[in-house]
Amino acid sequence: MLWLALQFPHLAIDTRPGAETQTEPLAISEAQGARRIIIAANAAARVQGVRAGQVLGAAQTLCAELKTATRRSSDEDAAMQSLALWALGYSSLVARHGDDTLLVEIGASRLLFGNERRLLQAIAVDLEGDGLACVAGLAATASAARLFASAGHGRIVRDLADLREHITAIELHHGDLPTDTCDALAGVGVRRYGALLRLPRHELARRFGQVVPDHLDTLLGRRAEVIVPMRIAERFRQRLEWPHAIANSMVLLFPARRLLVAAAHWLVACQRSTTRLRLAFAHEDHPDTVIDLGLGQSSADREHLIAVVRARLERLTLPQGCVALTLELTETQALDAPSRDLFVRHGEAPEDAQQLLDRLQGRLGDTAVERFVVAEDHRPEFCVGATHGSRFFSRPTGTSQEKRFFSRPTGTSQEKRFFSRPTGTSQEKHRDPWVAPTTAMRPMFLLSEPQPVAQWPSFDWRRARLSLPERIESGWWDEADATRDYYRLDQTDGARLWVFRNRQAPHDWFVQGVYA
Amino acid sequence: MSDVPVYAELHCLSNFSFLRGASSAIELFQRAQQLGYDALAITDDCSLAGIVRAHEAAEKTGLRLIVGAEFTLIEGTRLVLLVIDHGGYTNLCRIITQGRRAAPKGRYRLSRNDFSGHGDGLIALLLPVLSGTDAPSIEWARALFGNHVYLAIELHRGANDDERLAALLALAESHGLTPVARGDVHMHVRARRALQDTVTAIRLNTTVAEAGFALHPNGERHLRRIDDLATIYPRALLDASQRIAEQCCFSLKDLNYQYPRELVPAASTPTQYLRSLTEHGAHERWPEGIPGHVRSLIEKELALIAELKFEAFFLTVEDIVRYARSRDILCQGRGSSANSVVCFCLGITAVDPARMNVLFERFLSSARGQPPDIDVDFEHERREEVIQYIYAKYGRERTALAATVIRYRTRSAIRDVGRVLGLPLDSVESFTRAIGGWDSHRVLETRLREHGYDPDAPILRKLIRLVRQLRGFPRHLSQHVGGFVISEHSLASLVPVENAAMPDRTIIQWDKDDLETMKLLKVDVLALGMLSCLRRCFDLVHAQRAQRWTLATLPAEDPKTYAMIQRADTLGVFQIESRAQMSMLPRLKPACFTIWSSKSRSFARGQFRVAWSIPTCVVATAKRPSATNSTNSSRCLNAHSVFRCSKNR
Repeated sequence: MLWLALQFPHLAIDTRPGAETQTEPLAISEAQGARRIIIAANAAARVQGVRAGQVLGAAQTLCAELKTATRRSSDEDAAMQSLALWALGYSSLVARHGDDTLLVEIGASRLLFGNERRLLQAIAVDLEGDGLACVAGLAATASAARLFASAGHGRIVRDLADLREHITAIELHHGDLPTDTCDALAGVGVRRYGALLRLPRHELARRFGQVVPDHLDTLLGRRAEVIVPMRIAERFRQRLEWPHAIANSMVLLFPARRLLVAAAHWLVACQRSTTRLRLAFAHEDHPDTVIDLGLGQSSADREHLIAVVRARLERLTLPQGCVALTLELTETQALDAPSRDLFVRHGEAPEDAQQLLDRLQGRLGDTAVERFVVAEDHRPEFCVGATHGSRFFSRPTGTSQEKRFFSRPTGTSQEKRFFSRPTGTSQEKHRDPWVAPTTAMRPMFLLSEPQPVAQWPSFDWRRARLSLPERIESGWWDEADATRDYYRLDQTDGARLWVFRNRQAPHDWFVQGVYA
Repeated sequence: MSDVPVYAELHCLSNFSFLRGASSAIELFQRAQQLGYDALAITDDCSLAGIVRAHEAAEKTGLRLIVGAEFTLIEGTRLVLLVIDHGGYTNLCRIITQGRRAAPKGRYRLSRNDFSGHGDGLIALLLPVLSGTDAPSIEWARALFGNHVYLAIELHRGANDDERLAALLALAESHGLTPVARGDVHMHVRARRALQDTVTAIRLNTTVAEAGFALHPNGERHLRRIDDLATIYPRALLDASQRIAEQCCFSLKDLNYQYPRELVPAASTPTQYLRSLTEHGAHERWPEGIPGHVRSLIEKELALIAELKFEAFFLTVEDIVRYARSRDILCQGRGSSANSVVCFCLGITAVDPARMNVLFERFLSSARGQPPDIDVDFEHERREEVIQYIYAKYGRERTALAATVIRYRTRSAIRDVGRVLGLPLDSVESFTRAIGGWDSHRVLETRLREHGYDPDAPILRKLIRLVRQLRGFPRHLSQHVGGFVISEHSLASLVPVENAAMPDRTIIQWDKDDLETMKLLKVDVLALGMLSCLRRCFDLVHAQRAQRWTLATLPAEDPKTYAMIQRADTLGVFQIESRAQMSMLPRLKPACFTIWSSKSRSFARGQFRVAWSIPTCVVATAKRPSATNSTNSSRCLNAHSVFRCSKNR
């Protein structure tokens, strides 16, 4: 086992965007009892001597123009959670310790990354990218790793046997011993672990409590330590809050981005991909604004998710300023690793087309992007439909729900193809050999709803019917039974109409379509 | 040529084209007769399974039936064959047999070569597809059927009927064929369209909403009015149909069925041979001399048999039973055959009819005119030997099992219709459970309401309506339990033979009702587990006491047995084991055979008749206690009941 402990000493500052690097000194403080204690300070304040643990008043004397802000532990917690999820991408055993430390067991994942050095480099790159200050410690036991991290000990100690010699120089207060025990030991002149280890155990226990030998044993690996590994939640749902209402939706992209990064980590850790997201914007005096985003293809790609959300946010108008944002992954499925073609050129993979459509959908709205489907139905108004949502590039399944939509009288070349000849589908081989598919000419323009002839402009009966009636009787199963006789009718103005007459009362005439 | 057009429908499917036709033969014939058709051809899909029912319907309505079948060949040729004469019928049966035997159960496979040599006596109506494959089909048909080839034109108010008609007439002209109008009828009235769509969806294993173009575009494929047809087809085509119908003068009544010749030795006639066997048997049964009343019974029966010409039935069964006896297989005639003294003399039954008042008219009467139904039970473990004997003696060509038609019942209809209407599976299951097995379809609405469903909901209304129509429709053929058909000539020339589900079993396409109507010889070779029990009893008794009993020679009227029965100590006793019986017996206290058998019969569900009860009762007399080691017999031969062992041991 090889434990990596990551301590984030300035987490409170780092979770505020831009706080660390700003030129004005800033300190985060928290009320403890009657006093306010500094939790963290940014670089500008640290230069002037402000340290964590100082009383606010003392800090203000050191640095006159010190600004303070209240600690937002929910933010820190969210950040740690996000980090823990990220760490799950490197190891299956991750634990949180305290407010600011992450324990990652990397011994088992070493081979996956090649060797240890590469693994640590990858981790370092990631952390750098996140912009969080971090101190690391690497040891064979978790508590030793933590010790090294908090002491700033940069060495890697892999073997248990070597641990002893490396902890000798470390001061006691970096470890887990309670403060009063440390003070008591300091009172007898024991300030470092080296001295502590030389003392006899039995007397130590009697004098300072069993906790001391236990602590030493845990450090050196002689006693098992209890690590509670982090459990991945079943569903991803995270919430970010901020004190002032934000009205500009583009500014909301930043917290949204943070949430999406955490969501992406979660997806990787669970080996899942998502097809639907929900963003809920909370307002003070207004019910939440909720946006549901659907993805055409389930995705775990962080950049893709961010792009989709950005496209959506661009056209979002909020009724009121937003004070909190919740991200929830409503639909996930197991991750399906796409197989890659050896020679695919970038930008031409079908996933890219799918992602483009997702972004369009995100920009225009869930129901605004549709495609045509051809359904097999004898009734003309049901044989072409539009469907939105999933499956843009798959075969139409022709469920009865999809057939509900009427076609658009756009007369594009696409439509013409639909009507020239019903193509054989997978049912070809089951078809009754005695029923021949119709090879008739169908109109170029099909009305989405048949219109009574009386409402058709400039309709007249002057020319005779051209053909024997074509009888279509179908659709008894969904309350839209059509029993009609169809005729092709020429008009004096040269238009040819496809009209029909209902065979049941009241025998009305309707126009169904216009031939080109 | 009269002004009123005449028409005969030459292409019509009944519901024996399983899951394609949506009307029964009687419905089709009644409607055709109403419409004034000249004749109606029933042309099921490579099948004559429904032809006997069509024949009965034709007799009932007085409309002429034309026998035929439709085929789709693997090359794509589609044609209907109609029978002109008996030779044509034989050829048709052979073709259908060929096609059905070449494919697994429920399907057929025919190519053009399979028809060679079987073209006589048939009229072929080819359906062209207006593509390149028409010319070879027409030439092939010409070569095979000679002048009896016509081009069928089917118009159903499709999209461009006028163009199609013109093209088809031109095609007929170019090949010198006469065109004829045909209806491709799948149902008798337009209102059956929903059912026809439903069965199509069931057949394709999809829902009606998703069946798409597999459903017919309209409901025109029904028996249409002649004046409607006259607006669609030219007059010449309708007249052609009538001319063709006139040529087909074959009727099923003309079927030449002969009883197998092996039954009777060369020098004798069936009547003589039957008499001689009866006499011989009578002398064996009554060695002291035949009693007077028995003699008169024998004479009466023989006379009736000779009058109705049913000797072959008795002789066939006698032969099988004789074989079984020779192999020591226990067998017993059952049912009404026990009423016949002749059967007793021939050894078919083992019940002495002299001891009871038999009613021969239950078994065979000139009023009914139907052949006798002689059912024989054999030991179930050795029935296969008997079956093989029959196959060996008559050959597989001349004997085959009869079929049973499996029909839709209310529950199976609900299941299938619910599925194709797109109802979720668990709803369908709960509907099925809501309907009890014995409920009549009339209570469907009540039952559904009781279970919380609203039968007026549109989908349920449809379901109920379709279920009512679908009930009773045949689903598929299955093998009959033991009914054998035996004939003199090859069966395939009489009725088509197809594969059953069991390997190496073949069935004819007619079921037992059809066989009765056509008066074909059918013998029921059934299995009864109790006989195997009895045989083991006899073997044990023989081993223990060196007494050889047969069913007939068991001592009868044993008082101890009756005492046991009166105590209702009948666990394990065949026929009187049920609790109902056991509760009645102490009250009735049957003390002699007739009383007991009549009471026993009153409980029977109609399957087992009086005659059966006798041997079981009689066997119970062998009840000497004895200590034996064999597991079977220690139960067998204990104090009371010889047959406390169960059937399956």
